[in-house]
Amino acid sequence: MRHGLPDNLSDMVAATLKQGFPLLRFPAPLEARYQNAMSARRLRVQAIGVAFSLPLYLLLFVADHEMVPDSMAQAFLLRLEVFPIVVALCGLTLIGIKNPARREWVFAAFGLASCLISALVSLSSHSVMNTHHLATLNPIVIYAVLLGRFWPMLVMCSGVSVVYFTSAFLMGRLFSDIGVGVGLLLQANITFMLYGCYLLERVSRQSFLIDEQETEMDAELHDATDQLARIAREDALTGLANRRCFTDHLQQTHERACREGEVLALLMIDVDHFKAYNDHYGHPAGDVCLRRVAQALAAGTRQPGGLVARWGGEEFAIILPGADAARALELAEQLLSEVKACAIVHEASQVASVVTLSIGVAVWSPGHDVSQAALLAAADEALYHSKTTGRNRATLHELLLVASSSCGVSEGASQKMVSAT
Amino acid sequence: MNTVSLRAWLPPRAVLSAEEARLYTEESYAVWRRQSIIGGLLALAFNNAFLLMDYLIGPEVFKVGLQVRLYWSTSLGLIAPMLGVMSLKGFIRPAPVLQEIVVVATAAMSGLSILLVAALSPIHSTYWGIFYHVGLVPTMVFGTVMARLRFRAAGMLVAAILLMHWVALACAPHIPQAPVMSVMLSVAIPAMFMLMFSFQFEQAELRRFAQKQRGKALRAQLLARRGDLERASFRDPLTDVSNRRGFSAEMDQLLSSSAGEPQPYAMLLIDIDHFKLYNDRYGHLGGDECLRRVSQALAQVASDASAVLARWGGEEFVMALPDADAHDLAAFGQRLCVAVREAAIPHDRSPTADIVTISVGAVSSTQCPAGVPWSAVLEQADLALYRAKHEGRNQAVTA
Repeated sequence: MRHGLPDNLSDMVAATLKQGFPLLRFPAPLEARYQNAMSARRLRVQAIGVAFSLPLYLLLFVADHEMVPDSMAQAFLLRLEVFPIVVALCGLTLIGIKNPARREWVFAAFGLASCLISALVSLSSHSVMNTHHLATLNPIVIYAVLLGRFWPMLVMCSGVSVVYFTSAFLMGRLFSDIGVGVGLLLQANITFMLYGCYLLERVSRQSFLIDEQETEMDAELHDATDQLARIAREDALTGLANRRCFTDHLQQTHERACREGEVLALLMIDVDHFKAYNDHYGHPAGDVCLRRVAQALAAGTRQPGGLVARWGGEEFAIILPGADAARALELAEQLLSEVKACAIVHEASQVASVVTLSIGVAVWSPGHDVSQAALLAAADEALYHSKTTGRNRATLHELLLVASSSCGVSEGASQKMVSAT
Repeated sequence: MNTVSLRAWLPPRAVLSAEEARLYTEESYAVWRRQSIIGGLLALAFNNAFLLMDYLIGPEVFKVGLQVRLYWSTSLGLIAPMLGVMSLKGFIRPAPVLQEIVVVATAAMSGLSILLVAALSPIHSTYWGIFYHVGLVPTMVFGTVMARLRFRAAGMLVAAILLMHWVALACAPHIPQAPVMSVMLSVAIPAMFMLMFSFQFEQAELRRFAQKQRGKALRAQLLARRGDLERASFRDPLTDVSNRRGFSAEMDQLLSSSAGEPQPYAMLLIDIDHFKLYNDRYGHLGGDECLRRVSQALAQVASDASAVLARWGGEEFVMALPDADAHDLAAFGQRLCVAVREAAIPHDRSPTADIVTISVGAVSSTQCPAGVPWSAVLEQADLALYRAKHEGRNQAVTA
């Protein structure tokens, strides 16, 4: 049996998909699964994001050089010494933290720190373009939101806005043309990017839920298919192979025996006076009796390639590849005694006080051009012989032993029967 | 789904089948239309908010800004959300390509308006004229993120804006202290990010779509398989009536549906007379055919009386008749016998008749102690069947 989600979770998945999740949050157990499922991928994205931020950050030297040339010393210090330390710290923290949800917040903190450092470069300058230089926050924010998750990014963006407004205020240009311009620019970018971030995370979460559902359906489909295959091959009452399975197996075994020149024995088994048993003890008891006989037969026929099947009603059939006449008769006798040893009381039987069997044995050996149907008919005939000669015995159909390459049992052919009781 | 990955730059019809591509386009545009209305209006609001900056830069710039941003850009920019509203209300059904063109054109035009303000107002000779280009970034972000252009369309928009940006820079007069490199980088790098976003988003959408399609197929398969399974577990493959397991399930349903006062019901056990002889005479295949025909005859009577029929095993059938009192029961049993006789299946070895006949044992639940399980009622029916057999077969006997 394969297992999908536990029932309550799979209901939760369906309900969450149906109701939607406008706040980008699943019920707790589902949220944990989602975070875990995404964990490795998110860590990779974050690690690459943090690593690539280093060269991208250095590109900002161009802005430093053009707009705040008086702060180059501070820029070198902040961008070449402080920032790499932040990158290293952040990278180590990301790797160290096991909780994937918490890593998103570390990533957001990293984005905010990058903005703060860049703003410090602007703040350290007295150039006329120091407020213009604050526009360097834009690419940093866009880069972070591109890679981050919605809620941490929302908080980060609020932080960056605070950084911007404070810096512009400290420069005394918050309400100037450039102060308003860069502020609007930042807010427009933040709004649009956060919207995109929200959509991206929602698609990712939807995909996750659909994936969960499909994994579940896959598992169920496999289960159903397995079960179906089992039902098609199994007898419901006794759990033995059913007739169809038996016929298939007989064909395969027969073909293999032909190929490899092996002998093959077939046993047809009938429970003696079963009708009487049923009438006497009732149907439920009859079912129990059949089950116990089936168990005894299965236990007595532990042989590689051997198959015990319920042929129908109170009839059973056994295939024994590699068993010659002597071996097959020996096993038949063994089964007779084992079922007797089960001591299933049968007062209505005229044969014994317990349930007994009649068995017909047919043996196929290489060189006989005999069909499976003929083999079955031979076993059936031997069984009939067992029943007409007093039941509770096994009979070996000898025709197939002596027939050279005639095609099976022809009506009226003389039969040699060997009985064993 | 793997085939979908890394293919977002291709049109959907290259990744999906024609039918799927159509569905995908339809689905994503239905969502997109709704979002484009709010997105477009928000973008216009931001576009005009920059007038405040223009005003602060100087009255000349404000005048140009007013003309370009408010009169020209805004009125043209309203076309996209208006189209969105109209197609939402069902007045028009614009082709997806047309919608894409409208959004790309609107966003590109909004970018152009920024460059126009810079070029037409006095700031074009100051470093402001260059710095003004940074305003192209939100335009690109709007086009790719807010308006959710397809990866290809987003690429076209980004390319168009970059082109205009570079042409405008090339045409601008040389201003010594202008931060040209910085401005170029702050437009080009976000442009790259935008392409990344658009690619990522399209991939995610395609993936989700492929998943949904797979889900649909899986669901259909599962439904079919469940049906097969139920048939296999609850039906007898030979006669296609219920098997024992199916009968148990149906009995549970029958008995639980009558809540409160237990409704009377009858159990009938049916056995084909001399079936062993029939098998010996006509062979197993003939026997199977006989079982099928008898079950058909029984099923006909059962469905008329809304009774539950099942093959009990071998040549035995069982039937549960709801709302039956003892009086009706004998007549119903007789009807079953008649129905099988009317099927006229030849049986020349039968000592009873020259056609196949049945014996029926019938018991009403009212004849048993109250509250006994149906299996106990069935045992009584078995006794009645035994009597029917002993009293000459081809008849129905009630308890």
